Amino acid sequence: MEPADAEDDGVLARPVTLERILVPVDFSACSLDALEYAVVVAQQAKASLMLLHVLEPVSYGLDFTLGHSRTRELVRENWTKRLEDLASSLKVTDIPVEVQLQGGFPADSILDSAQTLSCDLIVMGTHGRRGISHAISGSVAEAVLRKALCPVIAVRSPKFGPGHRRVIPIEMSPVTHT
Amino acid sequence: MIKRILLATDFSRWARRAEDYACALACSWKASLTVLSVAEFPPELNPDYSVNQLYLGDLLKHASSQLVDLKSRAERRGIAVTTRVATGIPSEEVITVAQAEDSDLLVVGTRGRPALRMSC
Repeated sequence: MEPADAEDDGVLARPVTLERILVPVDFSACSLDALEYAVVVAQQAKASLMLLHVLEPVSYGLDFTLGHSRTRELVRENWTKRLEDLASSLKVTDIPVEVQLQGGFPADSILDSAQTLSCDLIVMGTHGRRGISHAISGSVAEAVLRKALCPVIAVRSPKFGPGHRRVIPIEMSPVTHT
Repeated sequence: MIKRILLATDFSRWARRAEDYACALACSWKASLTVLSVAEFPPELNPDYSVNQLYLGDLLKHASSQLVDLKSRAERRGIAVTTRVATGIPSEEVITVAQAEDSDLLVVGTRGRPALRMSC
């Protein structure tokens, strides 16, 4: 027999809904492809999108000092603005879009946000900022696929129908973490 | 856009959950559904041995009867369903069929029948 516990039963008994789609973006080309795919899925499912960017924990500088809180604030504002720019490029689609900036380790933050923001589906790219060298599929995507309680669409190379008009830029200017 | 959905199932309760999703998506997107079940048969096993033949025959019989049930469940919801049975290593067979069918979306459960517990 398969092991069963209360949490499993709760997940299995939930009705199938598709109202809010979580799209984690790190602004890599692959994550933008995944977002473009999520747009198509959202249109087909009449769902809304939740764009999430995870700010990884602050690391020490070479002089072993933590950045000033003011600089950290600037970084936050910078990423929020990028997220909002991305959201505004979706205006033409009429899909309701929300943005969220979270601090933490990417996989944990994504899994956590999927739960707390009650998302029904996660659409994400398989290799992000850390590149393809990180095994064939990214470690973040793999962790999310394994642990998420909602369905996950992992987009390795998106497949669009003929005559598809892209709304998301293919690449965005790289940003250096300060 | 998503017109051909491939559902790979081992008929576990988690796969049943994936089936719910596959059917819901196929319904609302008017997509066709191909259901694949792979009889797990490692290439090291010699299919000429009668004990292996018996084992494989059992697997295939079980898979086909489950697929018939699944197909009628899905067809009651108005979905066009094709069923396929393959033999071999599940992960490889699923990829082969997804390519052969030119599927747009692959639906699989993340936990199936436990073979070896994953470390995480």
